[in-house]
Amino acid sequence: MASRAALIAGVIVVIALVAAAALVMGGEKTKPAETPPGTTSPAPSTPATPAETATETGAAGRREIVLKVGLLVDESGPTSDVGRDYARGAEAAFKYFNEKGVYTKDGVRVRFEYVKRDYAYNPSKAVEFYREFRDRYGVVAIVGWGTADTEKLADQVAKDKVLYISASYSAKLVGKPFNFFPAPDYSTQACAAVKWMAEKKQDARLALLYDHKVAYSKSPIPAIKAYAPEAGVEIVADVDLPLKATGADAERAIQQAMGSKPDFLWCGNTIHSCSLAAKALVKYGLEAVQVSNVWGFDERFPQMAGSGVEGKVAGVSPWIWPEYAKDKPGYKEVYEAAKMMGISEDKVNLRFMQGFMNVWLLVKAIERTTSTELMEKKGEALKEALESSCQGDPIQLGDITPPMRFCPGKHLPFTSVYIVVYGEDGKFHFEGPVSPEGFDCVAATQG
Amino acid sequence: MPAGVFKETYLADMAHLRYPIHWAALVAGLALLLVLPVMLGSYGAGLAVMLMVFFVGTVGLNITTGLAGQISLAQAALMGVGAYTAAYLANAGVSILLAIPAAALAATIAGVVLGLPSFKLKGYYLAMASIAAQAVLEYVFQTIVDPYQGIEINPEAKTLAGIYLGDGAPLYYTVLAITILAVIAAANIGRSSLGRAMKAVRDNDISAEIIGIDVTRTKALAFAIGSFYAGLAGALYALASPSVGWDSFTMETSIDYLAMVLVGGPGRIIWGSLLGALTIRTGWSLLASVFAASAAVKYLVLGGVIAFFVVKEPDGLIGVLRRIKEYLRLWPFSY
Repeated sequence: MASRAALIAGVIVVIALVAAAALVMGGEKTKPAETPPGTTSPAPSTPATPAETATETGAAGRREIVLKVGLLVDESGPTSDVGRDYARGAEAAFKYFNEKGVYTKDGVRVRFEYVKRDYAYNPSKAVEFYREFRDRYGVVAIVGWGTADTEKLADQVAKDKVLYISASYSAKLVGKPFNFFPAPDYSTQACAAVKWMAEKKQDARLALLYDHKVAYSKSPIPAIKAYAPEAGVEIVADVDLPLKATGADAERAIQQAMGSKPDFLWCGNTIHSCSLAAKALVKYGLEAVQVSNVWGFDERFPQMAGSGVEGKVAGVSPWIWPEYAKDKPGYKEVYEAAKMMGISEDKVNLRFMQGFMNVWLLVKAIERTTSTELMEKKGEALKEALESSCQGDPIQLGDITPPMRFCPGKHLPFTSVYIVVYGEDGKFHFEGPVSPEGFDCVAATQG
Repeated sequence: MPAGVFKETYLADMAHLRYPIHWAALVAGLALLLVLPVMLGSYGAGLAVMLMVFFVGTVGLNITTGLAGQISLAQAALMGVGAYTAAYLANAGVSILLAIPAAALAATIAGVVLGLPSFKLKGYYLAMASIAAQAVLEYVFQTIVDPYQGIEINPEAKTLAGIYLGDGAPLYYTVLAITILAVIAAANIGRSSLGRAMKAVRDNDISAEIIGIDVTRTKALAFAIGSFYAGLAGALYALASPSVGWDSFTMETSIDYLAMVLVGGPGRIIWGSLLGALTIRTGWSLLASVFAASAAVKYLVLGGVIAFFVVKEPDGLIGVLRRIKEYLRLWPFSY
């Protein structure tokens, strides 16, 4: 009896294996026209050759370019606390721009077909998905996510000429030819935060809290350490706080930092970890202000950190958050896109906007190229289009960003950030913009 | 004229290819492997490359664990030793084809050194010791070898006579050739005196010692060979990836390796490892697409599968397939 059960189990396993192999390896052929706009995983597609990556379709007399784009997100890994809303924002943007219409310089409509993959913040998985994007779908551009994976792929995307717009603002990406993001790099952002601390308190003492293993968390640390003495800030502690921290981890980190009597804490992780640190800060009565990196602080922070954090926490943001500029150009589009996706206004937050912005930057690139260039040079045409802002008209995403210029060899569009303080009054206050002028934080990171 | 196939010499009896169908399968299999990149395209070939990388690593662990009975949960870390050695050598200007054997040797040395305290241990104690080895190596990777979570590999080192071996069909054929060589070598280990000694140690080390087998030496060799294959897998991974990072060589990957051995068939070095690698690799992809939002569900399913094979099918998938083969051979008169 057991033998028969095992036999049946064996047959099932073999069938499942064959099905899985067929699913993973193959993929049936579907005509691009049959795929609805904004196709998501795991929609099969025609195995791509380079010539098929941007295809022309459309009714007689009307040209339309279908552009295949990869969307690499973390919806289940350690950065999914901020990754889920980012992914939602990017997907909303693809749908919004497909409906609204994106046109090249010569008036040809471009429609996005995107393929989403959740890599769970595993850089090795990201490399596998990149290969899938490139070899199976033949994408021209990728809207990506984390630091370790984007850095890992930077040279490869340059070799393959795939435009890569990441949610990582690592300074190491500033010099990579096909990597872009609509923000200052992490190092410049962190230096601005240090400058703000120096302005707030003379001879300020700063303790660093971040995951000592994770590339994202570590990214701005060399720049902070190089710039702090210049700005008159003393680094008094360097504490390991895991990205996937528990409450106990955060309490341990805060207790360790307390020994050095800091005036400020830098939290270099994402919001889950940073909010736990803030909670511990309140619990142990540490008289210091915690300033978090851009992914470590947003509208949800007070709720996540709990009561008592008023006046004790702040975060870096290169942009005004959507809730505070609803009716301004750029922000209006973000809300419109959310509405189109059936997402309520209260769900539109900084992360959603960041996802939207990355897709919008891709749209800006398309609008600066011609259909011929796009068809012939694909990712390279988009790269050159963005770099045309270096000498020509700057790029601006409504009022969300200041005028941005991407120059060949230095994709650093602007250098100012706001320090968003959660005040004693229980409201967010945007201070700045602050810019660490006179010090090259990118160079300090790159060594 | 006698009916059937007769083996008249010891050599014929021990040959890997004993029947005409074996030869036919070999020719067909090789032909299939050679045309695979054309059939599957570059994406499919890329998946096949990663499958081969993990297959080589699983073969190594199957020798250590399946053949010699030495439970090891440090295979991924040893793979990391190989990958980092290859990456560092490539970045120093050494051709990746020279870096690959060097990386395998480095992993062998690391495996033996880390395995030294384990040679007197067995069972759960050995598993714990190997977890410690994994943790130590991970710590070294994260703090000393690769503190910035990723080392780019010089593409020049992957270029041979103007052909870039790090991508596409050249990568596939390079990895295929190395995998075939590694598999041929592994296929003979189980049949050698060393292989028999390993099996004896696995089944009962006291009895093995009584009949004159040097148990410590056999365990050391099992670790060394398993580590060699792990290092080889790591070097192939370095060849196939634009950069290497410690995130690829974590405890989770080591558990995956153990699952590949248990699910495929412990002690069945080639076919068991192949089936295990195929099941776990494709299984992960399938689970990831089905349970995209919940990593916990994936682990639950994987745990369930491993538990099923450990309890109900200790011979792994290969044992199930063998029974299916027998069932079909005797059908409809199986009694």
